[in-house]
Amino acid sequence: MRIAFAGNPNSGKTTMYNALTGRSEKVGNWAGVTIGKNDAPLKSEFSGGKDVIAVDLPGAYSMSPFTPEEGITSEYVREENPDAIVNIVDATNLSRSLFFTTQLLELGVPVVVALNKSDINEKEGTTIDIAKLEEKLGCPVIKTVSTEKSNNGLSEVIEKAISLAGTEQKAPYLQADIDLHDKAQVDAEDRKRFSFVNGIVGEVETRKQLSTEETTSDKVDKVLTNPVAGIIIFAGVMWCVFAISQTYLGTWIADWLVGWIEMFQEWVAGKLESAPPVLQTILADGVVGGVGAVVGFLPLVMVMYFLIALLEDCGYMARVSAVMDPIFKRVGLSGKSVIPIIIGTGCGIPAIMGSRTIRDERERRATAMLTTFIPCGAKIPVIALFAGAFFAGAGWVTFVSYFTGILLIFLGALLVKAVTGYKYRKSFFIMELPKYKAPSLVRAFWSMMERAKAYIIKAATIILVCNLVVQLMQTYNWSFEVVPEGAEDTSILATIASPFAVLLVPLGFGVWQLAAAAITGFIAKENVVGTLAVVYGLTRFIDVEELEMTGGANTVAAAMGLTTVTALAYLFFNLFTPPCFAAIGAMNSEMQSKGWLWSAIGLQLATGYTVAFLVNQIGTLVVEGHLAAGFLPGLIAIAIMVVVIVLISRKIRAGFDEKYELHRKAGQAA
Amino acid sequence: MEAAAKYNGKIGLDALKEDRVLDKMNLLEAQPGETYTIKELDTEDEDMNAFLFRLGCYTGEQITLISKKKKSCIVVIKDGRYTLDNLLAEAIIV
Repeated sequence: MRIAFAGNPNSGKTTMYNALTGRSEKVGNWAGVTIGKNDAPLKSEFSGGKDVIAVDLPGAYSMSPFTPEEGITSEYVREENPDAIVNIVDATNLSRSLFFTTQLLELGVPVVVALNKSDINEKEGTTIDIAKLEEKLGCPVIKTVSTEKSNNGLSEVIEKAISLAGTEQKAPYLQADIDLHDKAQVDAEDRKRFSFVNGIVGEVETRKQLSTEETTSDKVDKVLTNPVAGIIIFAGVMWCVFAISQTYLGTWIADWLVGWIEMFQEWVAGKLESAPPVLQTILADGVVGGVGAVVGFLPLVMVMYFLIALLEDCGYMARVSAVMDPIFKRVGLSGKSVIPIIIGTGCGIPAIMGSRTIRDERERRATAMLTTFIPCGAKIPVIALFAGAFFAGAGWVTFVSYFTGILLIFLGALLVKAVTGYKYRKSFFIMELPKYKAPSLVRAFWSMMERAKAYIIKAATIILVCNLVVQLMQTYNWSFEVVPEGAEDTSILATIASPFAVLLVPLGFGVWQLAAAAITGFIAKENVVGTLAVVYGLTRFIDVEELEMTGGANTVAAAMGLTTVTALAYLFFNLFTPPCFAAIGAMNSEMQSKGWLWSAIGLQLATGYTVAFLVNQIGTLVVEGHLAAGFLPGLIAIAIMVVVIVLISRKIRAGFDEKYELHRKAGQAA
Repeated sequence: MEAAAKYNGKIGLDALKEDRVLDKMNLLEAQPGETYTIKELDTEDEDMNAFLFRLGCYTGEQITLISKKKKSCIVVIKDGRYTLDNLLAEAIIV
């Protein structure tokens, strides 16, 4: 048996779904968090031993989709014949929600209305006559508070839904038989439906506090959405998130954790004393060391997730969208692009998928293309390592990394706007401002633990395997003999990575070890750290504490043979080249266009290369008074990229002009 | 009485503006804190019109302007609060 959960955006569907199934799908206090269908069996305490699947759907205002994710919902309830529908209604906004309810009631599937957020109504003194509403709608109505642990009405909702499955309900309002292609008729019909809804609301709802009165939350909004103050506050909030997670709290915990990892590594090495030296290196250095190097940075990522979860939960995200919309519009994106970017500080994949809530196709694709320029959680270890090894753990490296990311998003958006020949088209912005609520620490904690679990699993699988492979490729040469000391350049890894290294000479880091680390980074960005640990010998590397204490002149920096300038160039190269393969996969499914996908990958490669080139050449010029090696070849490479972009732009614009001309002619003929 | 007094004290553009209050204006010209009845709504984008409709924003319905910024405003439609950009606000005639 399948029970679908449908309702307006931000009515609490996923919170209820999580409570009923024990899952931990993403929740947040803004419209458009859920962007795809999720399903899972109900916990047995709710299903009563029956085989019941709950299906969580993206929020929708009606059966006619406006944004892509709304389409998923109407298609599912219309085509997939669920056995029952739980319609989650935001009790604080009955007058809007019931429009969709009356449409759901017409489908011939039994509906149970869950009047969610009933606790807020109680606080505001709004009462709803449940019995009367049931009578008017012809379906059960149950008060719920999905955020509560007990006495939340959830089991009643499910009980009712299960008992009604397969039965028939009489729709209180049936759409007249009209021509759905005739706009005027559809319009008139929808008006009739709304006045029917207005009639019901007038009879069942009594409000103490009118929703049009100015509240404290409006006063807060005035500040947070103020074009000047709002942006300064947003910058301050994000600064705090990064500073707490990556300079203060996160780093303190990481220091403590690294001590434990080292002890474990020594213990493993001790156990392996009698084993063959090759096995020792592979296990102690390759597996434990490489994975340990990555896991050591876990606390930074966890603290960051905790803080972002608090932001997502309190209702701030919609305000940020509102305040950033004018700026983003100027570069051809939308205020809604901000949410993917903030989510992207955690992980690029949900960020790319989050672009689905953007209605305009070009804005949506551009957001999916550019959002990964903001460094994600997997890049935090890379940033932290370089900040620690070359810049004495300086906090500014982190801020420069994020700031450059944002800058690249803006520049990239301008480029996309220029290349696609974006002629002026109206791009509207409307976003619901949800009520503020105190963020749930428990939920933030679980969001953090969920992430930690995923991170550790990734470290123990993909990253472990990669490290092992790198270690083996480095240990053996092509005749599968152990590479003798002093002849490291003959290893399989060295010979494969060397041709790539040549391309990186203009960027200041043309050695095979660094090239190899950058390449494994495409599998997962944490691999950059893992591979560096492996190729440069772990013992010199994992000592993060010492590395932070001694600063620039420490052994790690010496081993890599990078100056502060080339280290920064290498860091930026890894941050701004294409994200991992998984994120590229997400881009592919979100963009629905091979042309856009390849342009995105090309743009990201070009960006990473150009940024690293500029940092290296300009940095060397400033520090040492001369240009770095390979200036001319690098310049030529970048010139080629520019030519390609111009050619693509020409091609697109030519098509555009033709289309434009056709439109014009059609207009004239008519 | 108060409105009339205000009206008498103003000349030129201001008076014209006040005059429009009695007639038609777009949401950008409206007064924060006031509730209006929507007289016309056309964004020249059918899907957008339909979307606004489903939020309860259509001719004959009420809309309350909570606050105005340089490039956006906050409104109440039905019982929900929304932020709109000026492009949309201009398309809503009250």
